[in-house]
Amino acid sequence: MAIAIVLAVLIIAVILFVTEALPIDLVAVLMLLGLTLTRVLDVKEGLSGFSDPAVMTIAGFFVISAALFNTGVVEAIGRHIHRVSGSNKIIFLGVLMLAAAALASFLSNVVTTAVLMPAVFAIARRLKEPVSKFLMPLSFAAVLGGKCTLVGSSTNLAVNGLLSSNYDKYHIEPFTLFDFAPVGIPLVIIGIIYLLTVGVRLLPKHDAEEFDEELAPKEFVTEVVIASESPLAEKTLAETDFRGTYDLQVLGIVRRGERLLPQRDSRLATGDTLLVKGKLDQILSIKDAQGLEIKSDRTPYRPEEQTDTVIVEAILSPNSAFAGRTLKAMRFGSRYHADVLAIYRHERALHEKLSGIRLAFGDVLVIQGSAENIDQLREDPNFLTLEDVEHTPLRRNKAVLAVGIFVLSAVIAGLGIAPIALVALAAAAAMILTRCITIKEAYDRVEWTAIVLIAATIPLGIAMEKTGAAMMLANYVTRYFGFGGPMLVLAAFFLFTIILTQPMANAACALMIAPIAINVANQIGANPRAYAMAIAIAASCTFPTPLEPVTAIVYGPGKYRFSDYVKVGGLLTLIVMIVTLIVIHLRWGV
Amino acid sequence: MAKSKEKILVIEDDEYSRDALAHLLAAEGYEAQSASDGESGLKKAHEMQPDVIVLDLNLPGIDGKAVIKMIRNDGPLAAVPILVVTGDEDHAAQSAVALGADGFLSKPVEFDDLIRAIDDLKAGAHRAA
Repeated sequence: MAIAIVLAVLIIAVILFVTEALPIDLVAVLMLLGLTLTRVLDVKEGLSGFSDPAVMTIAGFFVISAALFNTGVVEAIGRHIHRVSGSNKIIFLGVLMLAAAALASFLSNVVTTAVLMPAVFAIARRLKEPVSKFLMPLSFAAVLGGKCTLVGSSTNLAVNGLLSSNYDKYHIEPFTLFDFAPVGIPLVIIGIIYLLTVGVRLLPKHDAEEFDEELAPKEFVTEVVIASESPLAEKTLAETDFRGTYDLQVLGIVRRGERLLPQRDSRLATGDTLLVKGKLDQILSIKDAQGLEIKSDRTPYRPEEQTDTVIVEAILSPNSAFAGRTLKAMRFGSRYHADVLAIYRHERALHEKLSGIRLAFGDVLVIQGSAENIDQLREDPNFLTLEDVEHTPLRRNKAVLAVGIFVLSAVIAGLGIAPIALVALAAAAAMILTRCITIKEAYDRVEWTAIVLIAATIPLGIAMEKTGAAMMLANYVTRYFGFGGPMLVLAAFFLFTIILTQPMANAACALMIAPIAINVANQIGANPRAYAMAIAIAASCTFPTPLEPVTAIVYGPGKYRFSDYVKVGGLLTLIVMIVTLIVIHLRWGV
Repeated sequence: MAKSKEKILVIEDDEYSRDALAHLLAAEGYEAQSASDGESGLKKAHEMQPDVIVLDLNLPGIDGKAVIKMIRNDGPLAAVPILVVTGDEDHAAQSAVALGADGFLSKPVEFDDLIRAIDDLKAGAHRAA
């Protein structure tokens, strides 16, 4: 009876996971409830996933990832790729993929891809190459990198959770941080070689999405000051690659009251004001750039180091008393105790100092102030405030600290001095204690869906073992496929996992197949630990479809078709399968 | 000032200067187009029939001086005022004027000087017409 319940829950769950009729984390919780309320599992077993080391490790690494991001470390790596890659597209692609793989071996694959995407746009434009040649390889390299360590992929951690929660039955030692490296590193190397040689030729030539003029983000104008001791001082615009690095267009250089046209070899000097134009997020990123300041960001109204700084877009209302007046004349700063960071005007671009622009109906001002002062502005009939602008300032001064905590924890976990789950939690706590990240940001950046999904799916493995359902399914596999020997059986499992994982959440897929695979391995005398590892690797092969977040985020920007994934990703999946099987065979003699 | 219809062609290989020029001229109410080398500049000049051409002397391929000569020997374009922008010493600009340019500015160019120079050229062209 219990076996029937487990199998019924398993089948219903697979259908719900594949069709996504309900949110995946909810499906996992319903599955947990189904197994516990029918008394297949007791309460303690049913909830054990939530205290599983794998789940705590994932939570810890979300916080560590976020801290490295918020201190500007990850973004700095993106900028460096920019510098080292020069003008050769193959070198750029190679460096990009290596960086993505290295980052993703510790950080989330999606975060890695998302963070490196802006670098791709900037460099592709400079190289005059279509972005479609780089974006898919970027996301694939992140996935490959994730296969190198225990913490690189949710599937690795999920399978590890299965091993630790069933240790009394399996007697399989859980994986250590670098157990996956002997398989993962060859996968990264061969995968990158394939993408550089064959993959890049198969990719379409699509340029970045050409936005409809109406839909294109507005381009704002602002004034940027070269701060004292700026690393940009004494360098030319071309030397600093100003356009590429900041993705801003320089409209003019104001020096000693003269407005000069910029040139490639214009040498910047401390105190120069640059008139720049760009998208709002690009302009606001100047606030985090070293040696550059938004001019109006330096006034007395700036709420120094206050946490309640708010940035809003406000549009000059039709009968505003300020139409036709300049910011200077209306004494905007002292009137509102807020600063205008940038201005947008429809149709005609601005080419003047912000303070000297005569405002007109429809002008959009980007205003920064304390929450209290911005609230007063919202009441003011002269302006219609639009949505708040989200901007989390990067804490670059904490970057070294964040890297130190990260490296130290990787070493401690790598040497096995302390269990990895505790190291991850300790590192997360250290990041918060040292203010590399605030506690609120830490909560915000944990992907609770992933946590709940894995925590609630781990008990399924316990139920499959406890009731003998895993054994029973394994018996069928052994009976019909066992004749082929351990390698053929493993290959069949690998292929089946790849197919099932496409429409499913990867971690859930790994957790459903691994118990069966481990039992089969025991029955046919193969190495169950190697089988578990292979399932984890297969379940994160998201290459042939754009259905997982990491491959989906490049789908739109690269203007890919589904068939591009099937073609380029399908071949890569085949390569991953062959390389994994060969390495496992050589290393564990399966 | 109703100068919204007037068309200006910027031929300049320095992308920072070219884009800033196009932007400034658009902000001043001109219809501005740009080209990054002599060859595409000549092609674009034929297409748009500009009222003024702003020309950098140092261009890759066909250089600025050659562009001036070709424009001055080109029926429909021969009378278009040319404003030369150069980073070189005066003699380069002088020889450009000798070849048929109507005025010159040396880099770095100041906004107000540029706008004034263009206004002067147009006024001159109208008087000549």
